[in-house]
Amino acid sequence: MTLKISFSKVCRENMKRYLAVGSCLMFVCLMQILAFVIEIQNRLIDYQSITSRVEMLEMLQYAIEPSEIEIGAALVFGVAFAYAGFGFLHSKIQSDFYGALPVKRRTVYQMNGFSSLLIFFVPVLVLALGKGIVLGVVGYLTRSFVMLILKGIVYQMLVFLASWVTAVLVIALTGQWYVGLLAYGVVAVYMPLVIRNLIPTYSGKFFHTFSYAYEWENAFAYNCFSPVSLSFGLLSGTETGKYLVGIILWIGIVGIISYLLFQRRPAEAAGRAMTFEKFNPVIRFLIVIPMALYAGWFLSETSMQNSMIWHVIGIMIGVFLFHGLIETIFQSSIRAVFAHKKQLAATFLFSFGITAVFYFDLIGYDKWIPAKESVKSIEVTLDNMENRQDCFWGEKPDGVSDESVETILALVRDAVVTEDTENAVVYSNAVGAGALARDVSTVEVDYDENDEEHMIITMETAYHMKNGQVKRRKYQIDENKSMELLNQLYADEDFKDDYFSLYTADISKISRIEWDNIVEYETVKLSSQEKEEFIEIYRKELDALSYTEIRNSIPHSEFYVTCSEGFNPYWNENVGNMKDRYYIYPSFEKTIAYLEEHGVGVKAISDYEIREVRVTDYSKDYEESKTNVIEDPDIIARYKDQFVYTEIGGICMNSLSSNYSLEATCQTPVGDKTLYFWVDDATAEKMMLE
Amino acid sequence: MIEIKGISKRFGTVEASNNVTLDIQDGQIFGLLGTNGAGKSTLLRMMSGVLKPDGGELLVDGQDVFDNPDVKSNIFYISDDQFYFPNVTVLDMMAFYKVYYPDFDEKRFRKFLLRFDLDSKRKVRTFSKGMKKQLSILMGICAGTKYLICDETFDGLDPVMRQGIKSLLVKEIDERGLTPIIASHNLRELEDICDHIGLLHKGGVLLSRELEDLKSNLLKVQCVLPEEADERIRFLLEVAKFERRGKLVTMIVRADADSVMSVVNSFDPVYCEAIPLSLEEIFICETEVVGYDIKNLIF
Repeated sequence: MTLKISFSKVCRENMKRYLAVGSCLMFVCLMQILAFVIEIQNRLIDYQSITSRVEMLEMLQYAIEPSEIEIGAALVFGVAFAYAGFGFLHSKIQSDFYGALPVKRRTVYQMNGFSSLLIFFVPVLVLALGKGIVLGVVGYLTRSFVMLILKGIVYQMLVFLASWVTAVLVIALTGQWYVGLLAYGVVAVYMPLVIRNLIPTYSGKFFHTFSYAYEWENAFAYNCFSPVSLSFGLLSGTETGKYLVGIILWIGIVGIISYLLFQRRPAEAAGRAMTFEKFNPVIRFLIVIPMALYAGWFLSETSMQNSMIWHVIGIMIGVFLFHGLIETIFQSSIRAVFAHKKQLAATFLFSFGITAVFYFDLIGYDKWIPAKESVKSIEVTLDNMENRQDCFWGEKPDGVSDESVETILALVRDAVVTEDTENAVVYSNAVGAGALARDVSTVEVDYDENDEEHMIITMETAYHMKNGQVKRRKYQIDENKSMELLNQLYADEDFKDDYFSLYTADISKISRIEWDNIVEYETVKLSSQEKEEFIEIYRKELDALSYTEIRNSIPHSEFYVTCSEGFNPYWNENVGNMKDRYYIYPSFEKTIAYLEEHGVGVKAISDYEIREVRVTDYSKDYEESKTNVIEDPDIIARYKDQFVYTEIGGICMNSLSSNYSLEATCQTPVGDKTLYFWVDDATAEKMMLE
Repeated sequence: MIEIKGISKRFGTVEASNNVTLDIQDGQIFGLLGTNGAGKSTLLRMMSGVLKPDGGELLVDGQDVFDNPDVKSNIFYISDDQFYFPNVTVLDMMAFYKVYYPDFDEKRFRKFLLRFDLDSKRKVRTFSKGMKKQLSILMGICAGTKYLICDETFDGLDPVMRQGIKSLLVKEIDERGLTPIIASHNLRELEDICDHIGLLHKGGVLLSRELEDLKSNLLKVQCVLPEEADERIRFLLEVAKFERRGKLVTMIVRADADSVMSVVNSFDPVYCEAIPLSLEEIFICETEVVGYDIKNLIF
């Protein structure tokens, strides 16, 4: 009588096959515990001066949170365990051996899944316990840390499972171990890297109004097709919930597919490159076309002429190369390079077709301008605005509406449709620009900084449509026209809300305010209420700030606010201890007065005594430049009011240029300092004669 | 009983099995012969449940064998290149098989190891090819299954071992009705042990018959006859092969001895003798009929 096979016995026997990979895993976990001990020790020593327990807990948190190393290890071991359990599918001898055993395929899948999970879980648990013990010994084992450690376990198990089911899928789809690994690599990078970057690459090359801003906006849509992206996405901080759902769905869906493929996999596929040859044409297309498009782009960019001829040649090389490479892998023979000629021809056609869509702008990307009625608001940034996005921590920007929308759209409309050469939009790389600007070659662009009339700047817009979509574009416009727009924008509250964090950020998160004028620096000691008062005073003066003043004034000094925690909507990431800078213009008298009242030794640069001035004349050739050194205080005093300090920042300097340079040695409370000033040519000429 | 009804199997453009129909009764010792590339291994792998037939039906004890552990628990398959886990000892492999074949007789296995001088604690990867084959057969016998499928398993054994294994098999067959299915190119060995023969060629079945029946109905006849009798003899008898060297006629005839002698004697031959064919001669004769002829291969 035949006794029924026990699943637990089968599993126990099967676990012996994981001895090698399990040992490696245990070793890695022990190393991680060791690294953790050292990390905690280092942090405790480094931050001994911080006596607050709360601050120390903050410092330790970074060491306890799930790390990229743990996620990476889980990914790698997911693959290793899958190969340990299912690698037999790639060997004819082993396939015969396992295929003949009296066990259902379903049971083989289940026992390998169970064994892998259990064997992986034990070291992960050991690692977690190790962290807990270490924290307990140093007296920092808090409830939140326990939750963090548990979170780490959950993350590692999910990542492991996601990687494992993906590896089982590719093992079932292929018949040789290295093809399986290649397939895993393709799955890992195809959507989040290959496809995600292909569209902006081509759009950026052919669409003149394409904007690279906010690339992260669609990241999840691509990342959710890769176990690697989903795994690291769990650490993103901002979209963890999405990635958590994504990875669970991935495990479920890919798990089911891998199970079904394993069930259906014919044993004779062992040794062949691909198991189900019906998928080969699809795989070929999906890989060859994007790679050919990249090859075309690469060759065109490398040729430095942006010529379409090189682009076409690149595509041809790419199609041939990657088609041949894939056929060689599929058929394990270099002679297969020329196989499937019809598909090769079809791939050529598709690649050229896709390129043609971009080159001729068949979808009307560049021509598109939204109707005013369909636009809710528009975000706008201009090259000649100071970049404040990197340090922004206010509310998510939603653009300007009402009158400003019409101004912006008018500018865009002129940029797009005009045939007036004076107002024509000029592009720095005018390849294929035909539909947008006529007679581009007849417009002479003078990039001399002194010649304002022909200065071209970039304007980036984000149209917030009434249907909820956000569409981004980039335009090249005449700088004069941008000044008109900026004049209007600076009078618009919505614009300032999007531009200056202080309008919408949580002021209570400000941990520090520092004042400086480049030469001197001071921390402004204010209570919470005083901070709010100060910010309110500054905001009111900032409200009154016009673009004209910005253009014509050098800031008096500046101050930084440091936020203890915040979120940057431009970069979609949490920020902590980030410094946000604000200029104090000469007209901000109340701000200056408030600082002085609260003990800040506010000084403008002009308040420092100048001991020596060196004027250099560059109006002739460099070799003939002359320098005049002035040390007479009376002479210095005579000209001092003409000096414009250029190191404080602000956009005013964009419009200042001179044939002379002026270095001044100033007496400051922190010692003598050399500062650089601007002075008009007439004054400089006089100083040269002193 | 194993019932194979019109099964076929294709690997890409190669048709490994084409409409094969065979029955293997319980208690038979089935010898599977075939030309190179005839599809023997493919057929055995399908019988073991390793491969799924593309068409037709393959039933073991009335049930489909593929992915059916209930049926496969009655089958032990020994491939021509049997797999062993790296770094395992003989006892480790025994422990493995015990899990999948709960009826595995450990006590008996250990006795066999002693008898055949195989060290139970030695790593299998250090065994020679012949020793690994011995081990496979012992595992298969001790697994307690009803069917033992061997793909060219005997070919690597020395003559003494072969005899020892054969005697074991015979004992198993007698004691518990084991049904071995043995594929081999060593026809001499198969002739000793098998009672039923299946002959495959180019994916199809040439014949499947009791060995005795085959031998008794396929005879080599040597006689001295006048040339004029050739045509008549061929008409009266089913002649598979006819050769005349001078007056001596050698022919292979499909008929029983009595019928043949009666017909030949009617021609008053000077000399006449009917000899049963060896299995090797049967093999060559049958395959010659379908064009698998040494003369075709060389010239």
